[in-house]
Amino acid sequence: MKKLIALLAVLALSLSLVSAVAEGTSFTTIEPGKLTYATSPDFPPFESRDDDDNVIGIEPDIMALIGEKLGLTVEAVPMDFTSALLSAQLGKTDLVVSGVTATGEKAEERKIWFDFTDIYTSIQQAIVFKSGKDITMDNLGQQTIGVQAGTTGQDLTEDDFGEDHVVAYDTYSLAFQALLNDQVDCIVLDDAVGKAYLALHPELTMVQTTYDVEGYAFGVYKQDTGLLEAINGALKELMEEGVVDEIIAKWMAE
Amino acid sequence: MQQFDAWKALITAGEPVSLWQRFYVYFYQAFIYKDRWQQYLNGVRTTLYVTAVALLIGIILGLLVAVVRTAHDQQRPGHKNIVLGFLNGVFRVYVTVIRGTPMMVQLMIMGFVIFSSSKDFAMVGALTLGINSGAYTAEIIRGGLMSVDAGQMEAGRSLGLNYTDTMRFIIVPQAVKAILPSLGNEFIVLLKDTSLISVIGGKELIYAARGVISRTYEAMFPFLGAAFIYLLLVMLFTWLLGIFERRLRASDRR
Amino acid sequence: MIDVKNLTKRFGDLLVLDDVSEHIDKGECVVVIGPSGSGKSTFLRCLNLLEIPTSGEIVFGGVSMTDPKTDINLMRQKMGMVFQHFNLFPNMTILNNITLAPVRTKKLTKADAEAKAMDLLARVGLQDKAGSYPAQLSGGQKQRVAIVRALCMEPEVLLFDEPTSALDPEMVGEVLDVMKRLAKQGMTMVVVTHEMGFAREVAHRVVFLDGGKLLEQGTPQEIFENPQNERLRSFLAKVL
Repeated sequence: MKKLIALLAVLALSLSLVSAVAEGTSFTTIEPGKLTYATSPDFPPFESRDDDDNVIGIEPDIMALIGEKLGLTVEAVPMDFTSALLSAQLGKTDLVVSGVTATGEKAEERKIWFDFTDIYTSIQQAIVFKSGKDITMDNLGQQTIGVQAGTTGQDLTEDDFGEDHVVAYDTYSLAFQALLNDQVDCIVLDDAVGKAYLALHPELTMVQTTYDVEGYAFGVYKQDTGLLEAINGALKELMEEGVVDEIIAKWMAE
Repeated sequence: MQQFDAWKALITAGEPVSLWQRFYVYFYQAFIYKDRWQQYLNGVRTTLYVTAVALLIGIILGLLVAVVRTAHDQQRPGHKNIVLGFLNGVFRVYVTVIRGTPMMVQLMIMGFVIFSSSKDFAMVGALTLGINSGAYTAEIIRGGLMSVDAGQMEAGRSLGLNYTDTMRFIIVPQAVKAILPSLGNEFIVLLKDTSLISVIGGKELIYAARGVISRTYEAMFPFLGAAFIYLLLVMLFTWLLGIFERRLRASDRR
Repeated sequence: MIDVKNLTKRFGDLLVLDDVSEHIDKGECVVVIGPSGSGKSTFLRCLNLLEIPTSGEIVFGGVSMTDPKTDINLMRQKMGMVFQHFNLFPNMTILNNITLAPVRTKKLTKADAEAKAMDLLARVGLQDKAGSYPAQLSGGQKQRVAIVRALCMEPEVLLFDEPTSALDPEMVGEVLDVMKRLAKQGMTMVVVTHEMGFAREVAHRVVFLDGGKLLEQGTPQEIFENPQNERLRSFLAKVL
């Protein structure tokens, strides 16, 4: 499936490039005056949906401020994670903003499909399991591991322990349901996300892995319109002002 | 509401709670809290809208393809119509491609390649489902047309009616009656397949359920609720179809 | 009125009609007889091109039916046909069965077609069945309706393809009576049938087909009382 989508993407990329028109100003977006991003809003605290179907979280807050700085209205387009990646590859939206890892081998592969902004925060993979169990990096290979499909957690655990030990779920919510049902022994995921779930499920425990620290960034539709530079500029300002850290701290506390 | 807050606090604190209390809290937060049932209702509205549009496209397309292909096969020897031959070829490719590829891939291609600039995912989804359903409906109708006694066509033509009129007034009405059960089955499949459009961001029933899940981190009740609504819709649909079928059968026996 | 010239029909390797020539006059009632598989039904169905002749020509009212440029629908409107299995349209009422073709082909307005249909139904004693569906009728009633359906197009000739073969014995009479009346009124008719009584009583001419060949033809008297052909003699010996 992944390969098929990649194949499709090559095909479509050549098609959709035709529609991207550079206007000669400092930057352009797909829809003039509007910054659109695809996101899979089931990744709290980075992005989730409130009861009025608004996309909320760390990344939407950052995006709103970037839009403000660039003088653009910002629109979130919610969809599946795979679809969100595809959306920025094919230029349906300007960006994919969905906790996209921008470091390591995975990022090298993804760089074919879209450009990455600068990394705005770093996280590490963690293991979440029911309190009372004793799961560490050393005996992780003997467990059934739940992950979200398409995440770094899936790649790392499948490489280390083989696909037979790993069950990939479409969403974290489903993975956690499986954990509570004892269908998997643990979940490997970004520690920031793990913290958010832990707050709701006190019966769970989290430990850090020894995997490399990874950076999060936004994926930008590959086209030479100066948009990447503009967003990086705005992001840099926000980081220097300390606003990004404030936002992260605020959402992690919730 | 007070009950909910109290029991939810118990669960969050990790206190032992009865099965009923757990059920009550999960049910309450999945459907009643913050009037979340309205979100499902909005989802159902889109589900029904997408089903209706897809159904319409599917029937029109299916009928067109079936009639053209049947007409092509029933041509007199030595009277081959070039236009009919061309259309027949096109439609054969259509049926082969649509039936031979997964719906998910069709949705991706439609959503990200063909309609890459559209954000009306419900409409793109309806169109994709309609085109998909058309291929299956075409084969069902074709089977129905072939099942009508050859003497009916002969009787119509012997009266001097042309092929189109004979089809329209004599063959098609009889075929419809014969294929109504399989057509009803196709419609039910279609209704449930609308859940796939949430992958590209169509805001139907499953999307609504996932929204609630991303807020409550509990997947079982929202999905069970969605399943229950699908079941109700299918039962309603089956009931309506039964009435329609009995009416059509009125001419058989009295 | 109808000229059949060197008509040959093959189904694949099977030769069903072998160089048949025949002429049917206006007002004539021609009965085609012969054993099963003799090609008599195929002969009839070739007349209105329900079967496409392999070779040969059918000329009807001076127009070649077999010419690809001929508007076959227009020609068929002048040639009614009655089938062995009635082939009424089960999805329509009797009245609609009858009026569909004249209205759709713009031969009659809806009101005229209905008036004519009711008149014709009355003549075969079925006016009270106008609102019924075919499934509610007996075989004999269905076949009478089928004849009325053909008649409502005001055809110049009526083709009957074993019209009584699928009927229970007690219903054969009511259908034959209608056909006899039509013949008396001067309707041109070509009838394929096993009803030798009808052939003897009503036919102006009887044609004997066997093995796809037209072996003998003549008045009923000639055919039934003084058959020349050996095969006709053995056929008659079996059926009479």
